[in-house]
Order: sequence, then C-alpha cells, then structure tokens
Amino acid sequence: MARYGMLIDLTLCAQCSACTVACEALYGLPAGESGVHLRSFETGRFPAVQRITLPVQCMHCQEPPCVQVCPTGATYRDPATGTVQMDYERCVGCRYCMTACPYGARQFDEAQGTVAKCVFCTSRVEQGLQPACVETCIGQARLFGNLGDPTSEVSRAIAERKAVPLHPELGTQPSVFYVF
Amino acid sequence: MGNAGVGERRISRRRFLAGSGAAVAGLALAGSLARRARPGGRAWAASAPPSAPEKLVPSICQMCSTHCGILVHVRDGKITRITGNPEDPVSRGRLCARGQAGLQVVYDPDRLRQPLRRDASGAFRPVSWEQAFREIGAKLAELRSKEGPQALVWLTHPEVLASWEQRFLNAYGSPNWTPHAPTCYSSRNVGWLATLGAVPSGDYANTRYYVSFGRGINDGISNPQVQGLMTARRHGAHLVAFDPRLSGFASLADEWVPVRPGTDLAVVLAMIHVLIAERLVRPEAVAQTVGFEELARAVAPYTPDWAAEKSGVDAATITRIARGLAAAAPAAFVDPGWHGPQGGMYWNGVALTRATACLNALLGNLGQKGGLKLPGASPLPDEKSLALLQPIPEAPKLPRFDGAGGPEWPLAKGMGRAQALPEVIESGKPYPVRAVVVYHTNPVRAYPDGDRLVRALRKLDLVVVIDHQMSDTAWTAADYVLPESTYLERLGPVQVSGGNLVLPQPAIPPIYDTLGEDEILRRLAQATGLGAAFGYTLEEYNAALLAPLGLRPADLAEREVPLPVRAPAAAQPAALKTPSGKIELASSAMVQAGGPAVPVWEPPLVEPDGGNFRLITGHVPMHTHTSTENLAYLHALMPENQLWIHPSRARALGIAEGDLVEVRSEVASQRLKAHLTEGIVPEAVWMAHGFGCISPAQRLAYGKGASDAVLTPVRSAPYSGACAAAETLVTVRKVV
Ligand code: SF4
Ligand code: SF4
Ligand code: SF4
Repeated sequence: MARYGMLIDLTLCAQCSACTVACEALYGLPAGESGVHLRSFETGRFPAVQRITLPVQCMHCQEPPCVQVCPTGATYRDPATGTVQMDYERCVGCRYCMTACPYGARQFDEAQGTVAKCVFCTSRVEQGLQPACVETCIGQARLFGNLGDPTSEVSRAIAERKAVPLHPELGTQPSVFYVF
Repeated sequence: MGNAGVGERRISRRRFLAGSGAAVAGLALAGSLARRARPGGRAWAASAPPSAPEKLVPSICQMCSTHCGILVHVRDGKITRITGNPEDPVSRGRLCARGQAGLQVVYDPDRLRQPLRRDASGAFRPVSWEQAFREIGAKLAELRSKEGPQALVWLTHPEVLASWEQRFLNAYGSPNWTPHAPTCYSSRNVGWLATLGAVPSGDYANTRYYVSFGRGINDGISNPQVQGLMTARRHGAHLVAFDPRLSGFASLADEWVPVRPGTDLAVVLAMIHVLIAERLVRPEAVAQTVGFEELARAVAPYTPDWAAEKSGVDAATITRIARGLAAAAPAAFVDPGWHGPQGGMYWNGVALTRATACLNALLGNLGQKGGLKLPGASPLPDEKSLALLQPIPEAPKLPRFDGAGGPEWPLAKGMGRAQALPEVIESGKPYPVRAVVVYHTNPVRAYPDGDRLVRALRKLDLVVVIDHQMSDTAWTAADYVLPESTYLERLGPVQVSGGNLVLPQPAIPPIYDTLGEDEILRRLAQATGLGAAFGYTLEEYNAALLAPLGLRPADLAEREVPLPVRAPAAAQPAALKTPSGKIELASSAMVQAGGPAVPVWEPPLVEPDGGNFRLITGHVPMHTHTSTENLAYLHALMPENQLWIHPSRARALGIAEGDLVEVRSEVASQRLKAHLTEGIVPEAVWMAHGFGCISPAQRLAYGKGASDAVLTPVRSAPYSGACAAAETLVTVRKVV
C-alpha cells in the first residue's frame, strides 16, 4: 500500500506557472481549469514586505472532508495509492465537496457538469513517469514519491527540509508538503 | 524619499517564513483560494491520458529568445503537447509555461490563415500569395528607382533569419535592417562591449553570491538561468535583488533591497568604492584590467553614505553586500543584465552597465567557476565562406535612417535606433522613408509613443507586416499582411544551443495557407527583381552550413529523440576583443564616443515631483512581449496587467484595489485597474509590459489592460540610443 505524496519547495519555486500549463496540456483541459494554480499573499509594510506565492492543488488528504460529504460516493480515497480520486459517472454536480474542501482545491467543470481536481497523475505514475507538473518544474521545486516509505527521496526531503502541510490543525492529513 | 535604512530593516525571508505556515494557511482559509469555474470548456479527462503511440519531433522552442530544446508530441497529424527535450542541455527536459503553450500559436482560432490586403475602405480582403508578391514587388522596385533603396526600412524581432533579411536588404540596397535592441538591450551591449569586448553570461549554477539590479530571471524568465540559479540556491548561494518593486525575483531572493528607480548606478559605484577602500580587490583581478588607478580616483567620492542619499538604500546595506560579494569571489557576480536598468530603461544605462562590468572585474570572476563567462564562438562556418551562398550582395554604404553607426551614434552600430522612425517619416530627414516591412515585431505596442508611430506609418506608400497573428501594427497600419507558418510548421536555420547543433524542424505541415519567412523572402526578392540574391532554399542553406562539420541536416533530424550532436568546443580567445586586450575599466572606445573614460555618476533624466510618478515596467513569466496574450493558456494565467501603486499614494488619490484608473504621460493616456501593494517604492508605479491590445482580431487580448510603450515619449539615451522607457513621468487618477 503506497501513499503518494508531493513536496513543493517554495524556496526553489520560480512562480512560473509551468506546472499549471503542464497539467492543462497533458489532460487537454480548457484554459484556466488546471489541477494546480498559483496563489499569492502579501504581508508586511514597505519596505519590510514579503509576498509568498504557492502552487495549490488537491492535497490528497488521508482524512478528506470532501469524501465525507459526497452523497453519491463519487469522490473516494483510493487505498492502493492513498490518493483522492473522482468517479465521474457518479458525480451529480452537487458541489458539496467543493464547499467542504478547506484548500479550495476543487473546481466545477461546467462543460461536464461535474467537479474536477488534480488526480496526482496516477496513470503516469503507474507507467513509471513523474506527474506532469513535477516533470516540467523549472525550479526543480517539486518532488513526488511514496510517503509510506520513509527512505523514499520525497520522505527524506520532507524531513530534512522541515516541510509542512497546509492547515495541519484541521486533521485532514494532507499528502502535499511545502517548504516555506 | 525618506526610506534610507530600508535595507537594514528588511526582514529575512527565512525568519519571516519560519512559523508562518499558519498565517499563510489562514489567508487561504479566508476564501482566497476559491476558484472560478469556466464555462464552455472540454471535459476534464478523468482517468488515464491516452496511451496511443505519439510521434515525438525534436525541435527548438521559439516562444522567447532562449531557444530551449523541445519534443513536439504529434498524434494523428495534430500537436497534442510540447515538452522539454531531456537530451537538450538548455531545457533539460523542462519548459516554462510559454514553451508548453506554444501549440496554441498553431491552433489559436484568431490566427492569420491567408494573405490579406487592405482595400480602399480600409478593410482587409483575402488576396492570393501570387498577387500579394506581384504587387508588393512592383511597389518596392518602383520605390527603389524613384526614391532610392534607402527609402525601405525593415523592422524585425525575433531575428532568427537575420542573415536572410540582411541579404534581401543588401540586394535591394538599403542599410536599414533594424532589430529591437533599443527597446531592450542596447545599453547593456554598449557598456559590456566597451569594457570586455563581449557581452558575458553568468555561471548561475555554481555561483555562491548573486546580485541583481533590476534583472528578474524568473520575471523576464530564462528557463536555463532559473534552473541554474535554483541549483546554486540548493547549495546555499545567497541571492540579492535590488529593485524598486517586489518583483517575482525579489520575492524569491534572500533579500529584497528597494532602490529608487534610476539610481542603481550610485549603489554600484559605492560598492566599487568599498571594494577599493577596504582593499578587497585581489592583485590577480587588477592585473586583468587597465585603468584601475583612474577608476579608484573616480569612485573616491562615491561613499556608501553618498549613495544612500541618492538611492534610498542605507550605507550599511551597500557595504555589507559589497563585502559579501568580495568574500564569495570569484564565485560571485552581479548579473550582466538584459532588458531592465542595465538594458537601457534609464538615461544612465550605459554608465550603470559599465560600472557593473567594473564591479565584476574587481571580483576577478571572469571565466571563473560561479562567475561570468564569455560566449563561445559559433562552430558554424561564416556564411561568406560558403560557395553555395555566393554571390553575397555587398552591404550598402549609405547612411542609416536612424544614424546608428554614424558620427552621432557610433556605439549603436548594429543595433539601430528604431524609435527614430516616426520623426524621420514626419521630417523626411535625413531622407524620406516610404516603405516599411515589419517581421513579427509589434512596433505600435513595443516602440515608444505608439500613437505617433501609427500616424507616421499611415503616411507611407507601403507597409507590409509578416506575422502569424493580426498584430496591432498589422491592424492599424498594414497595407498587406503576410501570414507566416509558425515555428512548429516550418523549417528554421540550424542553430547552436547550449553547445549543441539543433535543427528547428516542422512537427506538422502548415495547417493554413501560410509560408515560412525563408520562402517569403525568396519570393519577395523574385518579385522585386532581386531573385539572384537567393539562389538556394533553406534546406540547401542548412546543408551548406553543416557540410564543413561533416554533418547533414538529416543527422540532426532523423531520430525521434536524437542524442545531441555536440558542437565542437569553441576556442577561448587569448586576449579580449578590446583595444588593450584587457578588461577596460577605463575605456578608450567610450572616450572616442565623447564619454568619460571610467564610469561616473550620471543622474536619471527625470524626477517625480510628488504629484506624479515615474512609470516603470517589466516582464512577467507567462508572457513574451505582446506576442502571447491571445493564447488561451497564457491568457488564463494573466489576462491583463494592473497598475501597481503604493497604498499611501493610492489613498491620497482616492484609489482602492481594483479601481479603474487613468495613467497619463506627456504623450498619451491608458486605462487599467489599480493594484495596491506595499511592494513598490511610493514614487513609482509599475505595469507589466505587453498588454493593451488594440487589434480586435485578437479576441481574447483585445482591450485588456494597458500598454506601457504607448505612454513612453520617444527618447534616445546617450551613447547607446536606447529608448530609456523608464524616464517617463505619469499622473494617475481614478476614473469615475
Ligand atoms: S484537498 Fe480538498 S479535494 Fe483534495 S482531498 Fe483534501 S479536501 Fe478533498
Ligand atoms: S499531479 Fe498531475 S493532475 Fe495533479 S496538478 Fe500535477 S499534473 Fe495536474
Ligand atoms: S513549475 Fe515549479 S517553479 Fe514553476 S510555478 Fe510550478 S512549482 Fe513553481
């Protein structure tokens, strides 16, 4: 049983949005409907100002609030990979999961009438490839691998670089970690 | 401006970010992450991406001038995706957003599909290639005999087939081949050529201490340089950003040092002062130079306190960073720059670049690991040596329309002074210009004072635009619009990239009635009666270039994922290409051009007075000039620009976040939305370059944001002739 996870090292992120377009282009998504988007926050007063830009995507929570609220079972946690996936046949487009997700990681696909989100590129991973956003990341800010294996590159990097998930206090147990 | 001491009050990124996960997450929770859904799109491919076999065509990205190696994924004759070529040392298998969005250049629904001619009513009507060439050729031939060949000006960017364009102009007899240099890098080139005889690059991956003055390698993004600098950072390199604005690079760097716009020169001169006064310059470094004593005398008055007064950067910060550079030298450098303050945005750009070159020289970093490096010589043969390409038409001896390379602008040789065009057209001096061909560049929104340029272009007998989209220049001023095949549909000239020979080859045949620039030039030459100038095709040209290396184009093309063919290593010159063969801290070339021997303080041209602002501009990582704003993926990332303004100034003007504001300069006004940010010096406003599209044929981009170029008065900075776009004062008011 694997638990796929990702590290995004913001000290190496060039804020280039290559990840956003990689996801759109791989899956043939309409412009703007990528699985990952950059968000910026500014804090402080001139000249002691900081702007943090972070790529946000589905955190593939181990305790996913979206799954709990889904009335049809369309969104589920896949135990083989530890990822959160969608069964589009079952999605009725009620958007409860969008409301439940504390990370704003889900979006509504008007054309399909369902909710969509990052799928962690599991079909690529099965073929031995990296997720598209990881493969193209020009800052090499992204690492992907098995969090269940403490010796994996991603597990070691998370420990060494003291990476943290967003909102650990919510108990969602995200599988995406950030270095700030 | 009252922010002396800012550097010391900055908070370190690490300290700020430590324990700030909760703060960031809190912001996220507040709803900022809520995402818009977009109507009308294709469905999200839920499960596996298709696994049917794809053809992978290796080629080269032309979404910017970095030219990363790409793999074009083609299925059923359609390009599905573009990824980095893992065998390519420039991209290393990774591409920025623009490179990946390149397929939309082909499939943009607003793309030009056939040649167009403007009719008497002003509307464009389709015309056949034959008729277009016949009419344009006849006009050019007539002009040449009546007015003389100098009446033709050729404006171009990117300059991929520069030698072909120059051959056409040589055959025609016009000296007026004109690149985009003055809107970009003229001052950088003049400053470095005077000091080093070449424009260096940096060894980003191995540097230990990196300082940028206004250069944002992840703003005006360079994929290989970002990859290099992030590698250096993983190994502990210290990154410093001097910038009036919290740019993308400044937000990523270890420290952002806000500097008053146009005063970077004072800071660099003071750093030289510190290195010399504190004896931090090693004798080996001095031995590589001429003019050290002269430089030492000149910078004696430029103390850190003096520079603090001018720049708003406190003296302690200047001293500390100068010492930091010296401690890490020679694995340390100040970025040679590209487009920003060093490129020619300010009146004192050449002085800044020269001072930067001197500062680097005192670090002794030339040719050292982690320092600066000179470009290698091309392994491709000189075209003039190739029998196939004979006879080469002689370059005409006539003076240029813009004076570049002449007595007034000797150092602007080869770079032109494109912004002189409207004045020359209006005045007929030094001679009448009657026809302009525009290749891919978009002068109406790239050169200063676009409105004046439109009026001037409309006076001409002939304006031809070659492009793949209906640019603003085409829309407002062209008589003929010739649609070019995109870089994914046409062959290009063999290139050297990252030490490899690369063939820019088509991934698919042209999907519309378009031609490559090579074919357009050949047929235009024939129609103008100059057919003899092009007795060969691009295929034959590539074969001739490669033959002396024992290679054929097929060697670079035939494999799906080729192993790179290594270019033979270029020999490093024994001496620099300066008159002395050494690094000229004191430059004889500058003295000949009427300048000071060593860099000295020169103020910027204009000063805001408290009621107005200096307009500064820059690039963003998801767009290239005005060429990408209509591509759906990139448009979605950034559909429009905003005016960055400090909240204290905005408040006084009654401006709130998102308000529509009017920005007025001495030549024009533009409207866009305001963005209030603490990340900018209060005396300036900033907007991204490349918006404010006025061509309704580009339906996504049309009317979005504002054009910085349109607001810029026509100026020519000393020595380089650069446009000095940041020497623009504007007023800002809320539109009610
Ligand atoms: S990030 Fe949101 S969508 Fe993803 S698993 Fe967690 S709650 Fe669900
Ligand atoms: S992991 Fe795959 S699906 Fe998720 S954001 Fe990256 S590219 Fe998109
Ligand atoms: S591709 Fe990498 S460097 Fe670029 S924005 Fe995404 S995470 Fe950051």
